[in-house]
Amino acid sequence: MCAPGNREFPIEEIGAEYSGKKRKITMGAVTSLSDLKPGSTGEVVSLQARGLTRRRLMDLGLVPGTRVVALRRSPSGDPTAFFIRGAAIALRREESRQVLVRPV
Amino acid sequence: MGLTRQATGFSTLQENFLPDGSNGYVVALAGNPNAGKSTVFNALTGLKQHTGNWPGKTVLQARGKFTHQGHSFTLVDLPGTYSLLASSVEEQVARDFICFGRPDVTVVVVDATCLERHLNLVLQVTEVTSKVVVCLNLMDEARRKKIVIDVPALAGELGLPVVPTAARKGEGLARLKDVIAAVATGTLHPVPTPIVYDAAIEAAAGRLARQLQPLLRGRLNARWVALRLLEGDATLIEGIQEFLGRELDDPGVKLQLKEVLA
Repeated sequence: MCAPGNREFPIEEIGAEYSGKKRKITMGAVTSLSDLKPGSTGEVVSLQARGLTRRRLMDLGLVPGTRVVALRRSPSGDPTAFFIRGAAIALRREESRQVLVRPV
Repeated sequence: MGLTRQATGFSTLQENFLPDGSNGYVVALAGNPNAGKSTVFNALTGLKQHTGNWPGKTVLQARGKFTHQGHSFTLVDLPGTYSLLASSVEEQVARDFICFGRPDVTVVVVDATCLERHLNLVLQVTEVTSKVVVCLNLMDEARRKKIVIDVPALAGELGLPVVPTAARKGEGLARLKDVIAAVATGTLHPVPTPIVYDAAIEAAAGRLARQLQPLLRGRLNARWVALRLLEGDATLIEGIQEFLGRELDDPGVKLQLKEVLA
Protein backbone atom coordinates (compact mmCIF):
# COMPACT_ATOMS: atom_id res chain seq x y z
CA MET A 1 0.00 0.00 0.00
CA CYS A 2 1.31 3.37 -0.97
CA ALA A 3 -1.40 5.33 0.83
CA PRO A 4 0.51 7.98 2.69
CA GLY A 5 -0.26 8.30 6.37
CA ASN A 6 -1.60 11.66 7.36
CA ARG A 7 -0.91 13.67 4.27
CA GLU A 8 -3.75 15.91 3.23
CA PHE A 9 -4.56 15.96 -0.44
CA PRO A 10 -4.69 19.44 -1.82
CA ILE A 11 -7.91 19.51 -3.81
CA GLU A 12 -6.99 22.76 -5.46
CA GLU A 13 -4.23 21.02 -7.38
CA ILE A 14 -4.22 21.32 -11.13
CA GLY A 15 -6.89 19.06 -12.48
CA ALA A 16 -9.48 19.67 -9.81
CA GLU A 17 -11.06 22.26 -12.07
CA TYR A 18 -11.80 19.52 -14.60
CA SER A 19 -14.11 17.77 -12.21
CA GLY A 20 -16.11 20.94 -11.77
CA LYS A 21 -16.62 20.63 -8.06
CA LYS A 22 -14.67 19.97 -4.95
CA ARG A 23 -14.83 16.43 -3.77
CA LYS A 24 -14.90 15.06 -0.32
CA ILE A 25 -12.08 12.63 0.15
CA THR A 26 -12.17 9.81 2.60
CA MET A 27 -8.60 9.33 3.67
CA GLY A 28 -8.71 5.72 4.75
CA ALA A 29 -9.80 4.32 1.42
CA VAL A 30 -7.24 6.04 -0.75
CA THR A 31 -4.80 3.71 -2.41
CA SER A 32 -2.54 3.92 -5.37
CA LEU A 33 -3.60 2.90 -8.87
CA SER A 34 -0.87 0.28 -9.01
CA ASP A 35 -2.57 -1.53 -6.12
CA LEU A 36 -5.91 -1.77 -7.87
CA LYS A 37 -6.70 -5.45 -8.52
CA PRO A 38 -7.57 -6.41 -12.11
CA GLY A 39 -11.33 -6.17 -12.50
CA SER A 40 -11.80 -3.46 -9.91
CA THR A 41 -12.54 0.22 -10.38
CA GLY A 42 -11.11 3.31 -8.76
CA GLU A 43 -11.77 7.03 -8.93
CA VAL A 44 -8.76 9.31 -9.26
CA VAL A 45 -8.24 11.48 -6.19
CA SER A 46 -4.96 13.17 -6.99
CA LEU A 47 -1.66 12.81 -8.79
CA GLN A 48 1.58 12.70 -6.87
CA ALA A 49 3.68 13.01 -10.00
CA ARG A 50 5.21 16.34 -10.84
CA GLY A 51 6.45 18.02 -13.97
CA LEU A 52 6.23 16.25 -17.30
CA THR A 53 5.16 12.92 -15.81
CA ARG A 54 2.19 14.66 -14.24
CA ARG A 55 1.32 16.35 -17.50
CA ARG A 56 1.59 13.04 -19.36
CA LEU A 57 -0.71 11.27 -16.90
CA MET A 58 -3.22 14.10 -17.19
CA ASP A 59 -3.04 13.92 -20.98
CA LEU A 60 -3.94 10.25 -20.74
CA GLY A 61 -7.13 11.34 -18.99
CA LEU A 62 -6.09 10.82 -15.37
CA VAL A 63 -7.53 13.87 -13.66
CA PRO A 64 -9.37 13.91 -10.32
CA GLY A 65 -12.80 12.35 -10.69
CA THR A 66 -11.87 10.04 -13.57
CA ARG A 67 -13.00 6.43 -13.15
CA VAL A 68 -10.37 3.85 -14.04
CA VAL A 69 -10.84 0.11 -14.41
CA ALA A 70 -7.84 -2.17 -13.96
CA LEU A 71 -8.10 -4.64 -16.86
CA ARG A 72 -5.22 -7.06 -16.53
CA ARG A 73 -1.60 -7.36 -15.66
CA SER A 74 1.08 -8.61 -17.98
CA PRO A 75 2.49 -12.03 -17.01
CA SER A 76 5.51 -10.40 -15.41
CA GLY A 77 3.23 -8.23 -13.26
CA ASP A 78 4.13 -5.01 -15.01
CA PRO A 79 2.80 -3.10 -16.90
CA THR A 80 -0.93 -3.22 -16.17
CA ALA A 81 -3.65 -2.32 -18.68
CA PHE A 82 -6.24 0.19 -17.49
CA PHE A 83 -9.45 1.36 -19.11
CA ILE A 84 -9.31 5.15 -18.98
CA ARG A 85 -11.94 7.36 -20.60
CA GLY A 86 -12.72 5.09 -23.50
CA ALA A 87 -9.28 3.65 -24.21
CA ALA A 88 -7.22 0.79 -22.84
CA ILE A 89 -3.85 2.12 -21.77
CA ALA A 90 -0.94 0.24 -20.25
CA LEU A 91 0.91 1.93 -17.42
CA ARG A 92 4.06 0.90 -15.68
CA ARG A 93 4.09 0.61 -11.93
CA GLU A 94 6.38 3.60 -11.61
CA GLU A 95 3.65 5.69 -13.27
CA SER A 96 0.54 4.09 -11.82
CA ARG A 97 1.82 4.23 -8.26
CA GLN A 98 1.86 8.02 -8.52
CA VAL A 99 -1.88 8.11 -9.12
CA LEU A 100 -4.00 8.02 -5.97
CA VAL A 101 -7.42 6.47 -6.32
CA ARG A 102 -10.37 5.64 -4.13
CA PRO A 103 -11.75 2.17 -4.91
CA VAL A 104 -15.42 2.28 -5.91
CA MET B 1 10.83 -0.08 -31.45
CA GLY B 2 14.26 0.06 -33.00
CA LEU B 3 13.97 3.71 -33.89
CA THR B 4 16.92 5.85 -33.08
CA ARG B 5 16.66 9.47 -32.37
CA GLN B 6 18.61 10.10 -35.52
CA ALA B 7 16.14 8.14 -37.60
CA THR B 8 13.24 10.16 -36.29
CA GLY B 9 14.76 13.49 -35.46
CA PHE B 10 14.73 16.82 -37.12
CA SER B 11 17.09 15.88 -39.93
CA THR B 12 14.62 13.34 -41.30
CA LEU B 13 11.92 15.90 -40.75
CA GLN B 14 13.70 18.27 -43.05
CA GLU B 15 14.36 15.55 -45.61
CA ASN B 16 10.97 13.99 -45.57
CA PHE B 17 8.48 16.52 -44.41
CA LEU B 18 9.33 19.98 -45.37
CA PRO B 19 7.41 20.95 -48.45
CA ASP B 20 9.18 22.01 -51.62
CA GLY B 21 6.83 24.94 -51.69
CA SER B 22 5.97 24.36 -55.34
CA ASN B 23 3.49 21.55 -54.94
CA GLY B 24 0.49 23.13 -53.33
CA TYR B 25 -0.70 23.02 -49.75
CA VAL B 26 0.49 20.77 -46.97
CA VAL B 27 -2.16 19.22 -44.74
CA ALA B 28 -1.23 17.38 -41.54
CA LEU B 29 -3.51 14.65 -40.24
CA ALA B 30 -3.28 14.29 -36.46
CA GLY B 31 -5.34 12.40 -33.92
CA ASN B 32 -5.40 9.93 -31.06
CA PRO B 33 -4.63 6.29 -31.77
CA ASN B 34 -7.69 4.57 -33.22
CA ALA B 35 -9.49 7.74 -34.31
CA GLY B 36 -9.38 6.50 -37.89
CA LYS B 37 -6.68 8.79 -39.23
CA SER B 38 -5.40 6.25 -41.71
CA THR B 39 -8.92 5.54 -42.92
CA VAL B 40 -9.47 9.26 -43.49
CA PHE B 41 -6.08 9.43 -45.18
CA ASN B 42 -6.93 6.60 -47.58
CA ALA B 43 -10.38 7.98 -48.25
CA LEU B 44 -8.99 11.40 -49.15
CA THR B 45 -6.02 10.26 -51.21
CA GLY B 46 -7.40 7.07 -52.70
CA LEU B 47 -4.29 5.29 -51.50
CA LYS B 48 -4.29 1.98 -49.73
CA GLN B 49 -2.02 2.62 -46.86
CA HIS B 50 -2.25 -0.20 -44.38
CA THR B 51 -4.87 0.36 -41.74
CA GLY B 52 -5.03 -1.84 -38.73
CA ASN B 53 -5.50 -1.70 -35.06
CA TRP B 54 -2.28 -2.00 -33.22
CA PRO B 55 -0.21 0.58 -31.45
CA GLY B 56 2.47 2.36 -33.36
CA LYS B 57 1.16 1.31 -36.74
CA THR B 58 1.91 4.67 -38.27
CA VAL B 59 5.18 5.27 -36.51
CA LEU B 60 6.48 7.61 -39.12
CA GLN B 61 4.37 9.44 -41.57
CA ALA B 62 2.73 8.42 -44.81
CA ARG B 63 2.16 10.98 -47.48
CA GLY B 64 -0.36 11.19 -50.26
CA LYS B 65 -1.77 13.78 -52.60
CA PHE B 66 -5.19 14.87 -53.68
CA THR B 67 -6.51 17.73 -55.74
CA HIS B 68 -9.64 19.65 -54.95
CA GLN B 69 -11.10 22.77 -56.54
CA GLY B 70 -8.00 23.05 -58.70
CA HIS B 71 -5.62 23.11 -55.72
CA SER B 72 -3.15 20.40 -54.97
CA PHE B 73 -2.78 19.12 -51.41
CA THR B 74 -0.13 16.93 -49.83
CA LEU B 75 -1.61 15.00 -46.95
CA VAL B 76 0.72 13.82 -44.18
CA ASP B 77 -0.59 11.04 -41.93
CA LEU B 78 1.00 11.54 -38.50
CA PRO B 79 1.34 8.85 -35.82
CA GLY B 80 -1.52 8.57 -33.38
CA THR B 81 -0.87 10.43 -30.12
CA TYR B 82 -2.81 11.35 -27.02
CA SER B 83 -0.93 14.60 -26.63
CA LEU B 84 1.78 16.79 -28.13
CA LEU B 85 3.98 16.35 -25.11
CA ALA B 86 6.62 14.35 -26.99
CA SER B 87 7.08 11.72 -24.32
CA SER B 88 7.50 9.09 -27.02
CA VAL B 89 8.99 8.95 -30.50
CA GLU B 90 5.51 8.99 -32.07
CA GLU B 91 4.48 12.06 -30.14
CA GLN B 92 7.68 13.81 -31.00
CA VAL B 93 7.23 13.11 -34.72
CA ALA B 94 3.68 14.45 -34.59
CA ARG B 95 4.61 17.50 -32.57
CA ASP B 96 7.67 18.37 -34.61
CA PHE B 97 5.69 18.22 -37.80
CA ILE B 98 2.85 20.38 -36.52
CA CYS B 99 5.28 22.89 -35.00
CA PHE B 100 8.17 22.98 -37.42
CA GLY B 101 6.73 21.48 -40.61
CA ARG B 102 4.33 24.42 -40.64
CA PRO B 103 1.47 22.68 -42.44
CA ASP B 104 -1.05 24.95 -44.13
CA VAL B 105 -3.85 23.10 -42.37
CA THR B 106 -3.86 20.61 -39.50
CA VAL B 107 -6.80 18.23 -39.48
CA VAL B 108 -7.37 16.64 -36.08
CA VAL B 109 -9.33 13.42 -36.46
CA VAL B 110 -11.43 12.69 -33.39
CA ASP B 111 -13.58 9.71 -32.45
CA ALA B 112 -17.20 10.86 -32.21
CA THR B 113 -17.93 8.07 -29.74
CA CYS B 114 -15.25 9.23 -27.30
CA LEU B 115 -14.98 13.02 -27.44
CA GLU B 116 -13.97 13.37 -23.80
CA ARG B 117 -10.67 11.71 -24.59
CA HIS B 118 -10.06 13.08 -28.06
CA LEU B 119 -10.73 16.79 -27.56
CA ASN B 120 -7.60 17.19 -25.41
CA LEU B 121 -5.40 16.88 -28.49
CA VAL B 122 -7.56 19.39 -30.38
CA LEU B 123 -6.95 21.95 -27.65
CA GLN B 124 -3.23 21.28 -27.65
CA VAL B 125 -3.01 21.70 -31.42
CA THR B 126 -4.92 24.98 -31.30
CA GLU B 127 -2.29 26.34 -28.93
CA VAL B 128 0.29 25.86 -31.70
CA THR B 129 -1.70 26.91 -34.75
CA SER B 130 -5.09 28.38 -35.52
CA LYS B 131 -5.38 26.67 -38.91
CA VAL B 132 -7.15 23.64 -37.53
CA VAL B 133 -10.06 21.60 -38.85
CA VAL B 134 -11.76 19.03 -36.63
CA CYS B 135 -12.77 15.86 -38.45
CA LEU B 136 -15.46 14.28 -36.30
CA ASN B 137 -14.95 10.72 -37.51
CA LEU B 138 -16.74 7.45 -36.78
CA MET B 139 -20.12 9.16 -36.93
CA ASP B 140 -21.62 5.86 -38.12
CA GLU B 141 -20.35 4.21 -34.96
CA ALA B 142 -21.73 7.07 -32.86
CA ARG B 143 -25.18 6.68 -34.46
CA ARG B 144 -25.08 2.98 -33.75
CA LYS B 145 -24.33 3.75 -30.11
CA LYS B 146 -27.11 6.36 -30.12
CA ILE B 147 -24.70 9.19 -29.41
CA VAL B 148 -26.00 12.54 -30.66
CA ILE B 149 -23.51 15.36 -31.12
CA ASP B 150 -24.49 19.00 -31.43
CA VAL B 151 -21.95 19.81 -34.13
CA PRO B 152 -22.64 23.58 -34.41
CA ALA B 153 -22.34 23.93 -30.63
CA LEU B 154 -19.05 22.01 -30.61
CA ALA B 155 -17.71 24.17 -33.44
CA GLY B 156 -18.81 27.27 -31.55
CA GLU B 157 -17.15 26.19 -28.31
CA LEU B 158 -13.88 25.34 -30.03
CA GLY B 159 -13.94 28.22 -32.49
CA LEU B 160 -13.04 25.72 -35.22
CA PRO B 161 -14.74 24.19 -38.23
CA VAL B 162 -16.05 20.72 -37.30
CA VAL B 163 -16.86 18.28 -40.10
CA PRO B 164 -18.72 15.07 -39.21
CA THR B 165 -17.50 12.09 -41.26
CA ALA B 166 -17.74 8.33 -41.50
CA ALA B 167 -14.58 7.83 -43.52
CA ARG B 168 -14.94 4.11 -44.13
CA LYS B 169 -18.31 4.79 -45.81
CA GLY B 170 -17.11 7.90 -47.61
CA GLU B 171 -19.54 10.06 -45.68
CA GLY B 172 -18.70 13.75 -45.22
CA LEU B 173 -15.44 13.62 -47.17
CA ALA B 174 -16.48 16.08 -49.89
CA ARG B 175 -17.34 18.60 -47.20
CA LEU B 176 -14.05 17.88 -45.39
CA LYS B 177 -12.12 18.65 -48.59
CA ASP B 178 -14.11 21.87 -49.04
CA VAL B 179 -13.28 23.00 -45.51
CA ILE B 180 -9.60 22.03 -45.80
CA ALA B 181 -9.37 24.01 -49.04
CA ALA B 182 -11.13 27.00 -47.47
CA VAL B 183 -8.73 27.10 -44.51
CA ALA B 184 -5.67 26.50 -46.73
CA THR B 185 -6.54 29.29 -49.14
CA GLY B 186 -7.49 31.63 -46.33
CA THR B 187 -11.16 32.05 -47.20
CA LEU B 188 -11.97 30.53 -43.82
CA HIS B 189 -10.16 31.81 -40.75
CA PRO B 190 -10.64 29.63 -37.67
CA VAL B 191 -10.41 31.61 -34.42
CA PRO B 192 -9.83 28.96 -31.76
CA THR B 193 -11.17 29.73 -28.32
CA PRO B 194 -8.11 30.78 -26.34
CA ILE B 195 -7.04 28.56 -23.47
CA VAL B 196 -6.54 30.73 -20.43
CA TYR B 197 -4.44 29.53 -17.50
CA ASP B 198 -4.16 30.73 -13.91
CA ALA B 199 -3.18 34.38 -13.49
CA ALA B 200 0.34 33.50 -12.34
CA ILE B 201 0.99 31.26 -15.35
CA GLU B 202 -0.50 33.81 -17.73
CA ALA B 203 1.71 36.56 -16.34
CA ALA B 204 4.85 34.43 -16.57
CA ALA B 205 4.01 33.17 -20.07
CA GLY B 206 3.30 36.70 -21.24
CA ARG B 207 6.64 38.00 -20.02
CA LEU B 208 8.53 35.07 -21.53
CA ALA B 209 6.68 35.36 -24.83
CA ARG B 210 7.67 39.01 -25.14
CA GLN B 211 11.32 38.02 -24.69
CA LEU B 212 10.99 35.16 -27.14
CA GLN B 213 9.22 37.09 -29.86
CA PRO B 214 12.32 38.67 -31.46
CA LEU B 215 14.29 35.40 -31.16
CA LEU B 216 11.64 33.35 -32.90
CA ARG B 217 11.22 35.94 -35.65
CA GLY B 218 7.58 35.08 -36.12
CA ARG B 219 8.40 31.54 -37.19
CA LEU B 220 6.91 29.93 -34.11
CA ASN B 221 4.07 30.88 -31.80
CA ALA B 222 5.84 32.66 -28.93
CA ARG B 223 3.10 32.05 -26.36
CA TRP B 224 3.16 28.34 -27.05
CA VAL B 225 6.95 28.16 -26.79
CA ALA B 226 6.78 30.14 -23.54
CA LEU B 227 4.24 27.70 -22.05
CA ARG B 228 6.40 24.72 -23.02
CA LEU B 229 9.50 26.32 -21.54
CA LEU B 230 7.58 26.83 -18.30
CA GLU B 231 6.71 23.14 -18.36
CA GLY B 232 10.41 22.35 -18.69
CA ASP B 233 10.16 20.46 -21.97
CA ALA B 234 13.82 19.93 -22.88
CA THR B 235 13.20 18.07 -26.15
CA LEU B 236 11.33 21.07 -27.48
CA ILE B 237 14.14 23.49 -26.74
CA GLU B 238 16.47 21.24 -28.74
CA GLY B 239 13.97 21.08 -31.56
CA ILE B 240 13.55 24.84 -31.66
CA GLN B 241 17.28 25.40 -31.70
CA GLU B 242 17.66 23.04 -34.63
CA PHE B 243 14.72 24.62 -36.38
CA LEU B 244 16.01 28.15 -36.02
CA GLY B 245 19.60 27.06 -36.55
CA ARG B 246 20.71 29.07 -33.56
CA GLU B 247 21.00 28.80 -29.84
CA LEU B 248 18.06 29.87 -27.78
CA ASP B 249 20.11 30.58 -24.70
CA ASP B 250 19.65 34.28 -25.04
CA PRO B 251 20.61 35.78 -21.67
CA GLY B 252 17.32 37.71 -21.63
CA VAL B 253 15.23 34.56 -21.95
CA LYS B 254 17.31 32.70 -19.40
CA LEU B 255 16.94 35.53 -16.94
CA GLN B 256 13.17 35.72 -17.47
CA LEU B 257 12.79 31.97 -17.16
CA LYS B 258 14.76 32.01 -13.94
CA GLU B 259 12.69 34.87 -12.63
CA VAL B 260 9.30 33.45 -13.48
CA LEU B 261 10.18 29.98 -12.23
CA ALA B 262 11.41 31.35 -8.94
